[in-house]
Amino acid sequence: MSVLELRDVVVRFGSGAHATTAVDHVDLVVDDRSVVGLVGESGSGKSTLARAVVGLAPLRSGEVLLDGQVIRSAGKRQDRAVRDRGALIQMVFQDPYSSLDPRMTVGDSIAEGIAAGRRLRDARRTVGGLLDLVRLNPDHEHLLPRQLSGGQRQRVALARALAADPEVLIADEITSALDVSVQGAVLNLLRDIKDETGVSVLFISHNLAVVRYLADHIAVMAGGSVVEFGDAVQVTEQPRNPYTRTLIAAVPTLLR
Amino acid sequence: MRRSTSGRAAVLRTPLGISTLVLLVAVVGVAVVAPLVLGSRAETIDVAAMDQGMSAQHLFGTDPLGRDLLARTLVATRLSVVLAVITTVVAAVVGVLAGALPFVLGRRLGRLLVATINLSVAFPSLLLALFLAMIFGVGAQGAVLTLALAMAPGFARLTHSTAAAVAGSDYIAAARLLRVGRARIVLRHILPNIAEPLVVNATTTVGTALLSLSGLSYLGFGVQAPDYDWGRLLSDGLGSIYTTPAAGLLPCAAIVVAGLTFILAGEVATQVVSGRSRRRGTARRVVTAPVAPVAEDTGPAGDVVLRVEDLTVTFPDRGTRPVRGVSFEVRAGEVVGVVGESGSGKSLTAAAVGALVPHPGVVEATRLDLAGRDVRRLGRAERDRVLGTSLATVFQDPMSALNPAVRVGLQLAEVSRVHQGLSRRAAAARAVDRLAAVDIPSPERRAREYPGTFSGGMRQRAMIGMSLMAEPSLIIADEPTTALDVTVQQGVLALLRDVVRQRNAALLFISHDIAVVSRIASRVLVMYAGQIIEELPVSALVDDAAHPYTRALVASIPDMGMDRRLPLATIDGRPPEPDRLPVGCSFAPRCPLADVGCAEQAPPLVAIGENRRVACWKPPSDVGGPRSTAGEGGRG
Ligand SMILES: Nc1ncnc2c1ncn2[C@@H]1O[C@H](COP(=O)(O)OP(=O)(O)OP(=O)(O)O)[C@@H](O)[C@H]1O
Ligand code: SF4
Ligand SMILES: [Mg+2]
Repeated sequence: MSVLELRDVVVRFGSGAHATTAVDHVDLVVDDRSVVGLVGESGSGKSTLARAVVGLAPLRSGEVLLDGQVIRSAGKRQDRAVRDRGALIQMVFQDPYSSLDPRMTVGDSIAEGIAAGRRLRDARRTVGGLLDLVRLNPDHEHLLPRQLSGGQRQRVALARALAADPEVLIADEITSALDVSVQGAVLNLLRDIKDETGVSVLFISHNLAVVRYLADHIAVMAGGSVVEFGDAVQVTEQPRNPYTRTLIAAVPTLLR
Repeated sequence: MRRSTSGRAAVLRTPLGISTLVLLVAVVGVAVVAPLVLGSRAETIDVAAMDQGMSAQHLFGTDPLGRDLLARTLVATRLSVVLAVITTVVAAVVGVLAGALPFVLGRRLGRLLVATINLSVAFPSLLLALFLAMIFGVGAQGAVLTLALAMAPGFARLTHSTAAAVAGSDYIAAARLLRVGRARIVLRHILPNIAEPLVVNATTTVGTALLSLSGLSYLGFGVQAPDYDWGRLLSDGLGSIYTTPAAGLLPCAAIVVAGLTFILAGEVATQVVSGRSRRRGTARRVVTAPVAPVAEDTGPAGDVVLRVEDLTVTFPDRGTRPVRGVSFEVRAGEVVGVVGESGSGKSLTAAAVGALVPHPGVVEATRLDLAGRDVRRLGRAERDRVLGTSLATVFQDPMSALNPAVRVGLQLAEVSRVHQGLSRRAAAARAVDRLAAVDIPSPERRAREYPGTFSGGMRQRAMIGMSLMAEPSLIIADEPTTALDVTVQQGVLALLRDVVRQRNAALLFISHDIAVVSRIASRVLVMYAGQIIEELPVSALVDDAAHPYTRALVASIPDMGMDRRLPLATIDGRPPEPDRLPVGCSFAPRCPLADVGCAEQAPPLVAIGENRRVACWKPPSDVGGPRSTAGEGGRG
């Protein structure tokens, strides 16, 4: 049973005249075993929102709750047990070129995730099994990130996050650097993993076609606020906000 | 490991590298050997030979106790160097600990420590050393501790500032999310990534420590009789400088030579470390096939801007060949798309054209003509000039192509100043003009800003603007929109389209996303496992593709109409690793149509119509119009 809830979250950078509000009073609920898709153009605040949820960006106000328990709130530092619970929310980053330690082998990176999973909830995954899960050759265990192509790196990052056996997975544009063919496999995989483990997913993408495939609900973000939220089918078939319609028109499809 | 030893050796082969190496070997050799061989000669008191000048027996004379000056100077090498090394090691250990500690401590304590470090760096180290010398007292041990502590803040600051840069990266963020302990983050993630600058700094510091220790000994704070280092010899020798000048000059010379050696070694180490990233841009080109006497005289040849024939890229260190016999042409005003999965060799193909294959990759081709010039046959300077003016590249990751510490306008202007010799002012004006041309709002203000303040889409526009600084005839765009969201992506595609149309440039557009490619290209090259497996016009993509792989790629594009209950179409299995290619068709293990024959013999790339080629034994018979007989000839 894992529900991620954001209440009135505000993230602001800088101060005074130079302050920019990246996330502006956002409320959002990711229900247990569900996928919420978050779409919007770059700069709309999607990544900042994700980073705020996992504690990498400070909240100016509002709070983040996991199963009704406040795990993050503005200003207050939570005690250790609560912070450890925060590790049940894992994130896969957008840029596979900077999200892997260049000096650490693939296997060692994933092992850090496995160690986290073991500490938190006695999860036992293996490096080989995880590599297989993300469709990488098991021999890649001993390679360094710079010996992998961009797509291969992102799969390692995904394996590392899954290794911790999280309750909530935040996937921030994880497929934008992947091959379209692999993208399909990763999305299918994410759906399977969700069905198997019941992990809730906050799936961030700018591609509405991708979000539509995976998400039960879709939140459309623009200028730091959620401008439309609803059932995935409804948002994609009867969008109410004109901005949502722009996003639909921008989906890259083959020109016929 | 991609960083090969031959890469390092390249720096060591420069004159600076060679002389440093020779000096280093000499200094260390003397330190090891001299006390063994000359020890007794340096220490035997000979009353008969006191304060002698130069003689056959004592080349540089003797000291007041009749000991050979040259021998003493050489023997003193060991103590001098050893003390300098110990000082540096202690300074480095203390400094690195202090510099790394703020990342382990809580926020408040950490800040306090950083402030202390900054303060002690600002404090004059000579004063600090004299102050510490009073605490530790005279003698070798005191001098070492004194200097080590005086030098530690420098290490601490270097550690802290380089570590802070690393600490901000996504991989540290990922480790923090996994609740990896702070100490482990420092040990496993931060220190390995800052080791290089630290080692470089430490090498230089040995030289500085040597000079300072000699100074302390000279002043009487350091090494005490009967031990002697160079500083001690110098102060002993100074009394008799008029009778036996060598007594002062020899240790002086030794200090200077040894000090310089370590400082130079630090310099060389810097070059080895940074040279690795610089060498990315200078791949070796090897011409194996006999070069036909063509190229320049054949003229523009139907305005072909880029002609590549039988291109291969090999990494001899790993024994792999990620690009295997690729041939294609790009004409002026044309957009050619290259699609394929990750690792199919798209980027390396592009890199080979731009001489950007990372070391130690080897590029071979029977032909590699850019703007009518065979770039393989040009001298290095000429080649750089041709590449610099005719070719522009736009990468997926604009942040790594833009220097975060230099204003955007200056970076653009640099291109024109280097390749076109424009004046500073003309180049700056052109930079603003090009930023405007790529639709960056208020280009004059933006030109003065740093890349960090640009959004992803704007950085990519700036990169495209940079590619236009030199009126290129070919633009290679390697995944230029992959990092961008769909709305921005559309804008960048439109921009590239305009650029091609207005300037009649050719564009080689690389992407793993066949949908994106279809929106800009007129012709598509599909790559698989280092080879082109199909070439076809964009109009044929949707329902006339000949290769099973191309058809699978097309089917895997998610669109707004697909059935959400079904899994997305994917291509099962994965592409072969470059070091384990199948004998037959490289797609056979994943191909629904594969049969025994496919696995036995690789299909050649044959023409099946105008601008259409396919490498498959079983293309649908109704594809691509009438087949040309040129490439026909099935497998037996
Ligand atoms: N410097 C290198 N040394 C050794 N092998 C390399 C090097 N660079 C790339 N490779 C290998 O060459 C193959 C092709 O790499 P390349 O980067 O060209 O692929 P790509 O098609 O551009 O993939 P992506 O879509 O992920 O960018 C890969 O198997 C890769 O691991
Ligand atoms: S040659 Fe055979 S295995 Fe290869 S793509 Fe064609 S049918 Fe498939
Ligand atoms: Mg690439």
